[in-house]
Amino acid sequence: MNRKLLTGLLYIIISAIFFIGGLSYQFNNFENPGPALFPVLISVMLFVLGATSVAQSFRTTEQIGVIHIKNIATIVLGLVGFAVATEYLDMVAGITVLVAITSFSALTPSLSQNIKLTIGLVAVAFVFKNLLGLNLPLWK
Amino acid sequence: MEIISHLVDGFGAALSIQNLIYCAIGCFVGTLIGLLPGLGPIATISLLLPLTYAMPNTGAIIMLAGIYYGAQYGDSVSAITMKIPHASSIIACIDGHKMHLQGRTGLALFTAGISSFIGGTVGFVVIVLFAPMLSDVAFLFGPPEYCMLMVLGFVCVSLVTTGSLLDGVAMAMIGVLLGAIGTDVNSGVMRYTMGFSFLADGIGVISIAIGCFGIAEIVANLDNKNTLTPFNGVIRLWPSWEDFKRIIPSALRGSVVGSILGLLPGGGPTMAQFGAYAVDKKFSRYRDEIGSGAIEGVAGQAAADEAAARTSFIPLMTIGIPENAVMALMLSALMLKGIAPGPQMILNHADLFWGLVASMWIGNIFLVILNVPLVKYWLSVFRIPYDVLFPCIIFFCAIGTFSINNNIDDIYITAAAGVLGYIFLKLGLEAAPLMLGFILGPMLEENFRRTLTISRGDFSVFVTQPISCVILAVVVSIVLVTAFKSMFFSEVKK
Repeated sequence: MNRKLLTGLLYIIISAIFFIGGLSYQFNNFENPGPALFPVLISVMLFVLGATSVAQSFRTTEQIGVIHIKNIATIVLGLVGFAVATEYLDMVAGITVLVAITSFSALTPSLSQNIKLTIGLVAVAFVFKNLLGLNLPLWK
Repeated sequence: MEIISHLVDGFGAALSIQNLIYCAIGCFVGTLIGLLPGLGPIATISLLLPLTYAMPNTGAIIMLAGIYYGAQYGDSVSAITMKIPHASSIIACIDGHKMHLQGRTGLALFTAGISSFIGGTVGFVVIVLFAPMLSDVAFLFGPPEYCMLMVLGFVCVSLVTTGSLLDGVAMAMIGVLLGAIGTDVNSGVMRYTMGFSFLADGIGVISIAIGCFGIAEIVANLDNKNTLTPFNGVIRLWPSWEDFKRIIPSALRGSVVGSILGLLPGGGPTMAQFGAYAVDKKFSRYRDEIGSGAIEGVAGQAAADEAAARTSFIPLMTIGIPENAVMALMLSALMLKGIAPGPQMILNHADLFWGLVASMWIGNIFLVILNVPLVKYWLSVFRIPYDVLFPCIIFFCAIGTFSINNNIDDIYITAAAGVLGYIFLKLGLEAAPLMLGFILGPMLEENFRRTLTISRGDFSVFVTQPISCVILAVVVSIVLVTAFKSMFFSEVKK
């Protein structure tokens, strides 16, 4: 896929989101600028840059790198799983979920290594909570 | 002469065995916690602030200052080795991390340490000689001047970016737009929050930095099936004479830039690193190498970081204005001790002020003595298999993000920023200009709107105010020179 075309489209999409979102706030005038004025101005400029990038894409054949969905998905799901489990259960559960999900991206996944890692990270969190005074919801 | 006598008294106070121990503990603990990905100076100071409650005033402030400098250095270490920065070490992720990938980790860390020392020493000299005088400089800057200063910062994107200028400017604008999320300070309106109350305070700079740099880097390593970082157990710490000749000018340039930007409200180490990098890319003899693992990319940033960390104490101590979150924490520490920073502070608490100034330099020496021999221990983390290391880094990122506000929602923002960072990485877009825009954007908007309100919508105020006019002239000349160069080179290419 053409890199310039995709970056241009990305800029246009982001500018459109902020432009349309900004329309629901007040513009007022330059004497008394409202909350919409600045972000809408910037989003218009970003749109122009996006359109320029799209125009440039017709002159280049530069391609984007290979995207490995699995790795980004496991890391993000690991973080989200950690947050959800910590919020609704406790951080020990969160660490367990984090290690379990991220192990899908490990080169050599191993259950025993995951168990050791979970115990190690819980111990680190315990030290953070009790020695450094971090307010971690380790268990409820 | 009066300054020298005060300084001698200050060194007398700082060099007491008790205060030396406080300074050493502060530097060591600060470095240790600052090393953990995601835990930067703000988190480190807020974590360790309660330790100082029972201490004497001078000792407590000296220890907090030591924690601050230690955390700044530790932060550079995690940025160089793991590409996980805090606000003040974003630039270290560019050349520092590339040096690490080239197997020059020891040299990069040594350069960061020695340049911090140079920057800290210059910052110390600036404080000693100019502290009372420089406090007045901050008063010369009103909204139009700040607005132009921020515009100058954006123009520096052309110097910070190593790729396409169009992409650099666009990324900075995306940063500005992301910075607009949250409550508008002028009207109180919640913008772009999509009904999520946790976005009312905006997106944290740490969430964006960890997501765009750290998470994206981990995923890229996994994509490339990197089982271990290039650290091969051999540490070449000491630079060659050639390296030294490159470090010193860059560190001095960074020190000057850092000392100046450290004085300005909203400036501080975060802005100083971008300024130093931009100056190096413009004036260094090796400017063509910057961005591909040049030693200047580490030296200038580290020196600017430390110099700004020191001079940012001037507005706090002399006019009582904390110019960034770290200084706000320092202000609260002073208030807890019953000390009100302000114009009278140097007179009323001379022992504390000059003791702190002296301890800044002593803290610098401690940092070099403690950290240079410890580099090999910091690097031993890379003996851990990557399958074990990457979940640990993600865990520290999550804890670091969470501990700033004790808010679990910040982890979701980090995850979202990670996806965005990965997309940028795959599209070949740099995250550094985005961070610059994200940091400067809210300040630019605030000062832009204030200027227009004060001038009743009259844009000529940017020209009629002398300082603003000079900065505008600098901006215009940079734009013209950049445009001319690109036109000239395109003609030459044809």
